[in-house]
Amino acid sequence: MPIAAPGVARYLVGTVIFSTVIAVALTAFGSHRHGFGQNFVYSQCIGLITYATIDLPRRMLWPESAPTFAHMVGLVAIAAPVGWFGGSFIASLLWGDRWSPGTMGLDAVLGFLALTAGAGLAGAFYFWTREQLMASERGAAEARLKVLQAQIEPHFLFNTLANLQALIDVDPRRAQEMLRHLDGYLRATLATTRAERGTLAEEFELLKSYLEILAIRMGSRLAFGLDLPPDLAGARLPPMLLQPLVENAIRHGLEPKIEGGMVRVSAREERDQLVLVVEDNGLGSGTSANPGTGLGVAHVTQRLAAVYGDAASMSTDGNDGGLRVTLRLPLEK
Amino acid sequence: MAPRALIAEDEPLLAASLKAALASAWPGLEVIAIAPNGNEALRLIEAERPDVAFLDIRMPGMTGLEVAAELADRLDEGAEVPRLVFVTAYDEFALKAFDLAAVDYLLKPVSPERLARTVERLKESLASKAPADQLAQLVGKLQSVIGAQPPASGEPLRIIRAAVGTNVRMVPVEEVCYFQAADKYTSVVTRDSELLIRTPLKELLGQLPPERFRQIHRGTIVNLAEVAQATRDESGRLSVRLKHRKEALPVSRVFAELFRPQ
Repeated sequence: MPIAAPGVARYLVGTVIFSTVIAVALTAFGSHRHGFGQNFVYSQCIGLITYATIDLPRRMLWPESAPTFAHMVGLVAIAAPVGWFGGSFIASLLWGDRWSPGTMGLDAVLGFLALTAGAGLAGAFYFWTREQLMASERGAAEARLKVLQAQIEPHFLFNTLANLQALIDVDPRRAQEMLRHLDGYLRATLATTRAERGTLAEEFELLKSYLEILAIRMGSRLAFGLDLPPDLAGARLPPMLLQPLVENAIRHGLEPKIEGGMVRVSAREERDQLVLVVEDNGLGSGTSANPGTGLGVAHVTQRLAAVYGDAASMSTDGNDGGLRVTLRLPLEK
Repeated sequence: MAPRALIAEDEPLLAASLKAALASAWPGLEVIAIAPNGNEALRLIEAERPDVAFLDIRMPGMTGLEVAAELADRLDEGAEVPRLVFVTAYDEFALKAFDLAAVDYLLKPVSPERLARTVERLKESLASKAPADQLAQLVGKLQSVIGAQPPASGEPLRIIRAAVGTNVRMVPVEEVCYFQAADKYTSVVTRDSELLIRTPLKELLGQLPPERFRQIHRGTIVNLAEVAQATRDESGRLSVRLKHRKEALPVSRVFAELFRPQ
């Protein structure tokens, strides 16, 4: 198990390098006048056994997560004497010495134990912080991926591809048009998952691509309107803020409704606030047959709170049987 | 006689494309109708009795799965049921369940090679003349898909607040005998009253304690503690009688498992 475990090769190399450094330091500054070769063999043996005594129990006790720092110190406290006694015994066999820690004097033994513990602690701490860092980076990457997956919903993607396939044969020009919208939508989605702020014009462009695709797919069942006053085109907001709300209107309001209906997105300025409204005349809240209600809206609420704190708000109300979502946020031009 | 097929698909381009693909993959097949939603699909299947039905899973109105469940109910009356092929863009969960039970399923975009294989299977199935067994098997699979309770969302519901004129009646859930979907409303039926609320049945299902409240039909959630007995009538249809109400409530085949003797 430990050989196949992740990171073992890296840790072994790290241990060998670290032990070599100690061997060099001992040769240069140590009170025992041993040659580098002997110091090197002892150092490696002690280092490797200390490493094994730290890492084996660590992997068994905490197979998934990292141990706490206190646990790490505890492991090192056990591993240092095991590593020093065990390592120096093996090294003495290799080097042809007589293993006699008893003749070394208590000070020397304690000194070497302290050195082993110090080195073990330093090494363990180094790799421990590195792992923490890597785990948090991995977490951040996973979070980004989740956002992306939520935005490019598989049903949307595959149904759109199926429509493209259908159009290519019967109406290549509309197929090209649809492909252009899909391209625009995917590019905007990928770009905006990284950016902190976009403009309202960009947001509406993205919505237009998205809704044009759905209008082709749903045919006469979908009508849409986008109303962006020119002087608000440059207003800044977190990217893809409205998209989940429009997707909700389609997925839960209009797609499951037999007659279909209309979705409208509009922006206006109201006392230094940017007011954004997404309204539909679909099935209204909670009646959806399609799973996943509420996730998109919760996501928008979280983002508003994270970016604007109390300065922004979101409200929903019934609208002609459908749903109207109103966002108010500070106007940034 | 040439075999007849129905296509249920809400996206017009996809319906037309499947029809065209079938025309070249199976020239002998006659596509008699295209249904733009689940309700229409069910109506057309009953009226036209096609041999084969291609059902999109996600459709407005009833989903493809719900159409299949309704069809399964009619089996008991000796009705003929078409061979079902499910069509979907992406439903990992449902597809796994159908792997064995439906004649076949198709993933969108549909490839000609894949469709040719489906056609082969359909021809074999039509020659073997045993759709009833197949649908009965499908019912078992459907239980795990639509019979499954949706995951609980948020706080469990303890009190139903129903508007009565200008007042609001507070009804503890355990006093409810059953919930019945009624157009845009849900009817809340207690021992001695019937109230209307706006919360749809599907949403209620996620909020009610599952050990007590179970869906027994597309439009009905029953309080199991209020059920006196389950009865099968001469045509094989299952229904439940309640302890404190006179009416009997029909049970869908997909939910019949709930009332199997231990």
